[in-house]
Amino acid sequence: MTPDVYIPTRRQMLQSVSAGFGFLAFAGLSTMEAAKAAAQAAKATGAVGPLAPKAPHFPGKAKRVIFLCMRGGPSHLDTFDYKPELIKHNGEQSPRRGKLLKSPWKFKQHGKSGLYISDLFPNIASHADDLCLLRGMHCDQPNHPEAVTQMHTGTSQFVRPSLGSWTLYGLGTENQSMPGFVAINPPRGSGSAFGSAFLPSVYQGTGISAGGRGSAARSRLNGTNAQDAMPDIKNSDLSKTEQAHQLQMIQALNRLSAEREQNHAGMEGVIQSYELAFKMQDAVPDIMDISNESKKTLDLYGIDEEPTNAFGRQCLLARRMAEAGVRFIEVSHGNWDHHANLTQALPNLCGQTDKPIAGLLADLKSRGMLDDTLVIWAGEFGRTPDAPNGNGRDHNNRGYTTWMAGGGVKGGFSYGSTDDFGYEAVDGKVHIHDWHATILHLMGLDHEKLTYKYAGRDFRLTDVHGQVVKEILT
Amino acid sequence: MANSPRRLPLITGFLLAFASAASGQLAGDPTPEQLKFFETKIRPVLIQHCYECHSVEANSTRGGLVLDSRMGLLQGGDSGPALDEENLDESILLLSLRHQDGYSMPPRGKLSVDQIRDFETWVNAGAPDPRVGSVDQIVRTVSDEDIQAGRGFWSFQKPVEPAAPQTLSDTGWARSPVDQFVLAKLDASGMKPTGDTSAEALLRRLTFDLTGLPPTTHQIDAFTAAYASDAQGALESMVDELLATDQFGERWGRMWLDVVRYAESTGKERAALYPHAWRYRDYVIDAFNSNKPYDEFIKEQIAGDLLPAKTDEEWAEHLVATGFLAIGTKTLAEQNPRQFTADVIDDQIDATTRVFLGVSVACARCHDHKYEAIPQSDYYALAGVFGSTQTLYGTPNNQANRRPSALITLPISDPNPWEKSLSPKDIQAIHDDLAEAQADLREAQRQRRAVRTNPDGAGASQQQALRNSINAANQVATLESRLQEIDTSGKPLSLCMGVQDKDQPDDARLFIRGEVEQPSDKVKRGLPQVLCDPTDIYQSKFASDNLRGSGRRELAEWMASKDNALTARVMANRVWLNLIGQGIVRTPEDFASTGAAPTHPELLDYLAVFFMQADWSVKSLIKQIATSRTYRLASDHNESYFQADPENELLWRANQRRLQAEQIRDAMLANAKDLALDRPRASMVAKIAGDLRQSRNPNVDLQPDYRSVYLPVIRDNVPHSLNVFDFAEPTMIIGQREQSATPNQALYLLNNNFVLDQSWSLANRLIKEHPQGLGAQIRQAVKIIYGREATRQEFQILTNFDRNARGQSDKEVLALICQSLYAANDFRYLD
Repeated sequence: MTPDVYIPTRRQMLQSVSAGFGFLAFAGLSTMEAAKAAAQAAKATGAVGPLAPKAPHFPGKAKRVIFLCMRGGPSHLDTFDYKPELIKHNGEQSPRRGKLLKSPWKFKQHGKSGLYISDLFPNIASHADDLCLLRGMHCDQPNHPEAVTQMHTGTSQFVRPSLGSWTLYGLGTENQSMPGFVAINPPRGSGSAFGSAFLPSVYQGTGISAGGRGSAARSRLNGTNAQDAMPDIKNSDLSKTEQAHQLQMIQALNRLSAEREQNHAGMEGVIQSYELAFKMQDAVPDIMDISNESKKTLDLYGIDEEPTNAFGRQCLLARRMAEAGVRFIEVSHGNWDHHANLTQALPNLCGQTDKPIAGLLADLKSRGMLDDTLVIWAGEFGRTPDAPNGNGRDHNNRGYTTWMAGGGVKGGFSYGSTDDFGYEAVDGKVHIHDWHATILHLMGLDHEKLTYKYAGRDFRLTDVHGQVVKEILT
Repeated sequence: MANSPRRLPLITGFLLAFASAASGQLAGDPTPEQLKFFETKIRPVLIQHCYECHSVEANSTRGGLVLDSRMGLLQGGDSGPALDEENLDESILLLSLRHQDGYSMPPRGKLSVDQIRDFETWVNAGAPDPRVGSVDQIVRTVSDEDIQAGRGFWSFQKPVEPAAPQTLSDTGWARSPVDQFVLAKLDASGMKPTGDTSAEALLRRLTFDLTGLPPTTHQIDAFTAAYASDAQGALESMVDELLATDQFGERWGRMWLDVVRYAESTGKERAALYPHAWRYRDYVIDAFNSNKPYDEFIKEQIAGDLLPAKTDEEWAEHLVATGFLAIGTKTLAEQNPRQFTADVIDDQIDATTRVFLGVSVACARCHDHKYEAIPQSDYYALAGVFGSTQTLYGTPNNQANRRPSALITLPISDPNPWEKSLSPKDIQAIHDDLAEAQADLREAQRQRRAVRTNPDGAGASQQQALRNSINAANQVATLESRLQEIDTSGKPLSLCMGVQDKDQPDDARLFIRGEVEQPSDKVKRGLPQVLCDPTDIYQSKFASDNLRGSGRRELAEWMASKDNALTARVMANRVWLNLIGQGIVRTPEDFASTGAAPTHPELLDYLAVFFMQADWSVKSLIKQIATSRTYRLASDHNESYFQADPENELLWRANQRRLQAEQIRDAMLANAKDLALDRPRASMVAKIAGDLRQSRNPNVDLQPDYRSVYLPVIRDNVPHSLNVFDFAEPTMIIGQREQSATPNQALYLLNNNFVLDQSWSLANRLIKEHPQGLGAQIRQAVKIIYGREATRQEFQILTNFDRNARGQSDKEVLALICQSLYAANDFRYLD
């Protein structure tokens, strides 16, 4: 590729692209390095564009979020909410309906903090001193779809931007080679959970399918089939060099028009979008490719063993994205809806996720990232202390447990509680709006100030609600 | 055929009956004995056995029923009121407790004989109930004075035709009053309009704006020649030519579909398809093509079912138009029928007021409007109108759907094309299958009960029993719906979505804080007071004795009237926005105090008055703007003007606009001569809806060769080719689309197979039409894709690419060049 008078030189490219960095500048670097370099360049030069890093409202402890979304409503009573009274009254007629069912699993105290965690999560329990349990959670919706939507957007009544979109809108993102809000394995039809609604579309979540079980999923994760993970990520006809050549032509044409139309944000945006897209073609498969991870790391997440392989890979992927500077990463795990068959199904799911989640916490910690990465574990609601079907529990949106770790929350800490049996949050109640306000606060965003004007009024994630749970902050 | 509104038979109703809360034999305030009886015998049992599933407090309203207030008992749930005022002893509450007539409550086992007898005693005494409570007072923050003052707001005053400014800096520039208003503003700021754009750029603007398609090379040659000799004449005749094409309605109809949140599915968590929504889409496109007067267009969409019709065809058209009120998002999983109904009404109020008036009345659902002088009672005055209306949107009646509805049977024969006639034998077979499925369902439900009441029941068998009963119920629903879609002779019915008046229209109760379980007093139906004072003839039509039906027709007539200050302005602004790139009011759905003030108020009024005087002809309005000098402006940059007016509010130059998703896709097809201009029959959604399995996860990224406006619009599942370029979010009212530049767009243009295919296809066309060589092919490619000749620099960039290509065939190189031209700014932007 000989530079031609009509093709801008690399130097011109660097000068003229307002983000201050051109894709050619990083041709010799690996994507991860390039991403970091790009992030630094963006910071140094004051990158513009809607995704450029923005100053928070105040210094936040967390720089990024990994949200482990447990869909279906995991039982707090069998995992993180120890209920001695329920054990005492096991089998008695419940004050509501059916008979009370104690947890079939034992709870023990763990760590210096002595948090009670059930035997279903032995690995996570070993991180008890990093966990901040929120045992007084509640939300408004007793049905899955609506509660999942409320957990993400604050309301199921209207179509509203997702938590991740608000975060990205507030803070931009550090890696200009990757989307700033990534949903790993988004369930089908979950658009509303990752949508930007009235916020500009640049803030919506980008779905990356990282497969469930089986070889197809594994090959996707290994980056051999990134096309399935993300549409249009790979050109079916051209080699990388050929495409770079073509891109040079496209950008040369774009420069011509951008020079003609000065101060045209849209045209500058197009030029930037090609740079990011071109980099994503490497960055996405690069991030998906875990072949250079050590055996020790893979083992930490339970990769290449069952039943942890699939979710372990997703958690590892989340760490790799966090490391690369993606602002908000959501990992989904489903089927926590145990109306029946509790004694078999719940241990299965805990077994699939326990080691990967513990591995993620350990890995983040050993890399010094846990301090500024907020890890969140939550389902859309919890379950009832009674067992209408004998061996299963119903939905319970009035009291349940979620937890956070890292990123500015107290470790080994438990906040709030439900009543003696676990029906209802009674103390230290945290509504989903409060939860949102707290997450934004940890990121350095004031939920009352993070607004967007739409249809004549200022909207915010927490509507007119939400109080930061100050008690859990470090 | 009577020349009057007619009512139609609906296909079998699973429609909900609502009770009115008049007191019949019901008891008044309880006596002390009755109170004691209630507190000792009734309330504890209700709390222990019923509230878990049926109380506001527990946030659970299974079957839509709440039992923790007397209002709840009277309103009842899906099965009707829990108390039968005519025959108390046959009240559903008692039938349920006795496990009689198919009712059985509580689900976990019958109450004791004594407890049931207590309830019988209580109900037969008129169910004396202390839980009536005091009705919360309506909190008013908007006073009558506020309303009176609010009427003075600029957009609530009728537009008066302003005199066009005559003293202008450049007497030769203006072509019409539009230009005089624009120039006067520029003069006042000491600016001059930038020059005219080139003939090619103007033509490209015109064809994309009016038809959504690129100019053909033939059009480019003919227009530039004509423009050179008589610019204005060439422009006017090109506008006429384009307005007369069928593609005009496809482009402008799509604009309307954005505004009215058109989609072919319910959206929300448990989505179901709307296989008949396409009729409304076609109605809209036809309305623009036939230049249906805008006032009629409004009336048909709000109250088509109530308008006189001369023929069955016209009647059918009117009914389809009311699909406007039925295509909104629906929460089919909603347990509480009152909540569901309230949400449907809210969608209708929101759409109607924002689409036609540019005012958001829905803001007053929960409390008085914070910014406008719209009290909460005005919202419920409209809620009464829509609450007196049945909304018919279909959706399959299966286990996942708590809120199915009927559809309207059209008076003409025009069924969805994939539905086949059934022979008597087929019908009998379905009846047989149905009988069998119903037996299976009964058995599955029996087993499920048996397993559930067995406390030691194994989990696996419980889940199996549940699955069996869901499958059986779905099978029954599928078969029933097949029978509902044919007439007695087995011919498929022609169905549409839309609305009908209820038999007994009634005023709505105001809900305190918008909560459906907090009903307060009834509010008389009427129009928002700040927009229509009580002396107004439209408001007076709502006075009790005159109002016969729901009031929708009266509402429609007011909205479509020349007396309405907002209607013409809002539509004129929308047309302006779609031709000029920015509205005169830059918040096209908000003309109230939270919206933007008009940049050119007199111009807006001029256009509004012009529009009404042209008998609401949208084509005339478009022509008036598109033939202005303002429309011909170049988009050239001017640094000092840019500093003074970066948003180009004064229109010193043309706004550069990005092509919309459909324009990008259609242009690629058209350029390769692959675009089919015929309208496809119905919609892909109508085809897949028949298949329950497929309809859950339909593949919408199909690549048919027809225009993008006919691609399926499924909420949360919009075709990728449209979604990636800021397609209007179909759950929302979108007056102006985003013009983002995202990496996903870049990836799409670099790598998507549709783009690669169309580039190859165009390369093939070029090689066939220009065999003389790559140079000529490149020049032609630029002309086709950019609508103009290549510049020297462009030509050099493109030929350099060829020179540096390694081992690629000429055709490959040409295809890559075509693709690159599509990828580049100049294709994407209208200069």
